[in-house]
Amino acid sequence: MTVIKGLARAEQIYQDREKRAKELKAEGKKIAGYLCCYPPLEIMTSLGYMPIRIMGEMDEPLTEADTYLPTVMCAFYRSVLDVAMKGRYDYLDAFIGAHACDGAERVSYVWRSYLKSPCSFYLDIPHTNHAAAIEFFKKQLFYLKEELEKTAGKKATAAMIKEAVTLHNKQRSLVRQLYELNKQDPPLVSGSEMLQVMIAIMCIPPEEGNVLLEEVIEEVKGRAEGPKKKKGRILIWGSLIDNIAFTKLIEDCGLNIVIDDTAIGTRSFWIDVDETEDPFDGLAIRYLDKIVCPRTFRDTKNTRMEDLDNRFSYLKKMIKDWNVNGVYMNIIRNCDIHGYEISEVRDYFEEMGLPVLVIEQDYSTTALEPLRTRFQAFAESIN
Amino acid sequence: MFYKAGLDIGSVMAKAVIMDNDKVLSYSIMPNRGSFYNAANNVLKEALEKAGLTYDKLNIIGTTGLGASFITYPHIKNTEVACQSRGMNYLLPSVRIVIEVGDQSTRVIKVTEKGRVADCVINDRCAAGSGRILLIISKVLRVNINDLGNFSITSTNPVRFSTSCSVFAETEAISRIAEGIKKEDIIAGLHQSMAIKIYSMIQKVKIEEKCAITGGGAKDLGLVKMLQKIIGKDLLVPDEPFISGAIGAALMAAEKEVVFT
Amino acid sequence: MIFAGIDIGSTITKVVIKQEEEIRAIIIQPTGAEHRRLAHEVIKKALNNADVTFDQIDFIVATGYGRINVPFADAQVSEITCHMRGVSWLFPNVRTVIDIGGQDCKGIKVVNGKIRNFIMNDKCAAGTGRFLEVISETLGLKLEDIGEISLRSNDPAGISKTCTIFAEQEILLRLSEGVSIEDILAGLHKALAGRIYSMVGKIKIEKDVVITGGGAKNIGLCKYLEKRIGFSMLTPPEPLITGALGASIIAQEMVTKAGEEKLAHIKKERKLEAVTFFDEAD
Repeated sequence: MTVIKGLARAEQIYQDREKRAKELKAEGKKIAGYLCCYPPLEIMTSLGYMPIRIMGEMDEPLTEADTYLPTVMCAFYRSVLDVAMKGRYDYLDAFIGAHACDGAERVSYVWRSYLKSPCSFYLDIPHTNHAAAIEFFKKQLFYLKEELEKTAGKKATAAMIKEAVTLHNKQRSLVRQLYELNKQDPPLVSGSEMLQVMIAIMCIPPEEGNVLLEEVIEEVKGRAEGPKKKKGRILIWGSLIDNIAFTKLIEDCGLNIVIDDTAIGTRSFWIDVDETEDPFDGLAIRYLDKIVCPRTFRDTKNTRMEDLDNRFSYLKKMIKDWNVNGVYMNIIRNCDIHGYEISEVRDYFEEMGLPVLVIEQDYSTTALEPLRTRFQAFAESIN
Repeated sequence: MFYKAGLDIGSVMAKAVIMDNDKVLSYSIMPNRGSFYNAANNVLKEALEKAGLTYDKLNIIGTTGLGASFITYPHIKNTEVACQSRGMNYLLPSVRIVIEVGDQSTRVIKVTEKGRVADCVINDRCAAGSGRILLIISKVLRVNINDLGNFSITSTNPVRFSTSCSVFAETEAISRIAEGIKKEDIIAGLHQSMAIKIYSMIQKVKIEEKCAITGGGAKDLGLVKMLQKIIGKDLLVPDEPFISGAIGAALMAAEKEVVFT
Repeated sequence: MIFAGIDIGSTITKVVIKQEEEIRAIIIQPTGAEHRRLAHEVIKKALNNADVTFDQIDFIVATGYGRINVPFADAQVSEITCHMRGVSWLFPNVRTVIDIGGQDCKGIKVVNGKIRNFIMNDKCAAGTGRFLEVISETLGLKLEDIGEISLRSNDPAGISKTCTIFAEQEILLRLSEGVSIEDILAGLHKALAGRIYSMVGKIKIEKDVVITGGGAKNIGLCKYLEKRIGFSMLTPPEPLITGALGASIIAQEMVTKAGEEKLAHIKKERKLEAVTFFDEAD
């Protein structure tokens, strides 16, 4: 029997995302589903929960969610609730909702009322990074720990959490190593492969994820047939993408996706948790302040440009380091977090002299094909 | 004897019923061919002839529909939603959700025990999900509109449409034909995309135990079957789905008269 | 050298054959359901008009929504790029292109002959040429007449819906109310212009504005659109062919860039023969 590993294993997990969680559950492990990249994985891991990222399904027509959510809400969260209502996440032992955005907040409410997960927690995330907000958030993380302890049947000590911090930091460093390999031209990992790996490691225990990442790094370093050289080396900014049908369409049009700033991508892994004396200090600062999602308000500066620099200079660095020559701004329809930022971020990219493509998409695979012309025209506008 | 007439002058079809108290004596259905005025006259005339009555025998006339304001003889007008709700309650008293698939609009009405409107969702900004696409597609595929259902139910692989715009669905259907996709799969695909759209409307008023479908769309077995599959329950269909609104118009007019005199 | 651009649009197919700076032939004809057979047919017509043989053409670029269905094309380029190139060739100072096609509506922002930004509606028929087609059909008028008729109105009827199907319904209502055809048409054109303006407005409309596509041939639409924009637009002598023209210009550029010896690599092994995947027996 051949053991499937590396990219092939990532693809396998990507295809059947709940499989590993269900296997482990059958062996007695507890599974915690969480929304977005804000609930600290370290707390779940330290208490023996396997964290799994809750996602939607672009292939599935929305039929159930509209009873509970308005159609003006972001299509991703409507889809999340839709598949949840259809039973996809019935096996979860814990549900961790979060006020990442208003869509996530709404879903958390409805989830608690209709989908009775044995343990359900709503993480209140403040919308600023002020000292008082971090203090408040730290308290929320403590409540999350206490709530999970009730169903875990054990207590998490500082030492246990610190151990989990080390484990997850290792994952973050491996993810960064993998992205590093895309600095060369052509990149070593295609956007679709990268997405499969990112989703895979969000759906298996961190220890297994780390092994998978190491396998993938080794595999692509030695690969003869990687992605082909293309005219476009693009960065994707904005709402998340969780289906490779989307990245494949982009790649089909003469564009290589070399780096991203999205929640199923670098945003979830880019920055480590500091190993502080009280682990909650490091967690609170990392998850509230250091994740760069525009959902969090950051203090304004003197001029607009200084202000933009304060919020987005990390993008400038990514663009330089990964030699990016075009930016695709991905907005899931009605995603207020990213939709509201279009003009600011777009100006910022254009200031750097980069061609920018903005698409508001419907989070549905049936609506993808008409986007082909847009991506093709965009690729043609890149020199 | 209390003879009443109900007229429902829709965007495409004119419908009339003649009732004696609670009994339907006759009805008539005809396309209005661009003139609401003529259609309203002709459809009433034909219904009266079928009932063996004359205009002066009528005690009251109730009307509804887009073209009702063009009727010149005395009448009592009510909204389409109220009339559908009342008419369906008369035909199928146990029903609490009425899905009306008309030419231009699709409505989902929650009906009370007494036939009043409890809640209602209408597609009023765009025609996606309305019955018009069925007419368009029957022309494109050169299939009689009454046969769409028979084709649809034999499909094993409905096409997925990328648009819900009725006008563009036509183009998409033409492209699928050119690709050699079978008629039944195209029709079933359309039925599926309509059914999903309609189901999302139903959810806004929350589904109930007994649901019924009426309007021209109810005559399309393929659409009914597809909706049943997606909703997960059977739908009741009146014997003649075109006239439920007209019946409601007649009944409501008579009820109002009682209040007024 | 001789180049061809072929633009298979959703409604109309256009071909331009260009030799150096001279346009040798233009073909415009309706697109049917079957693109491949059509592509073969129109190129033959164009060759005939230009009095050249198929082998004399150095490079062929296909564009438009049916661009993948041109088996003999050497390259495919998106219609957005082609329109921009065609328009820029005709009007070097263009900053904004508004293209109103049969099934979509595009706004293209041009800076120094390059695409800076673009926007496209192809999701629903509102704001596209299809809207005009449907209403002219509903009113029993010729598509080419309705723009002019709309300009005779002093009191455009209120049309609140831009959904094509609903606008049809509103037409029937207004007609039944006795509103005159010119007032109805004026109302419809105004509504359509408003819809296009708000869409293209997202890329900030700047002078010079060039309008292309079938919509450019509708004088009523152009007038109402100019009213909204606040200044006048330019129209190419033949607004339908800018895409095909752009494709032929890109063909020329591709050949120049590649140079003599590399040309063989980018050129496809091609034959002109009727290919079809449509079952001829109906």
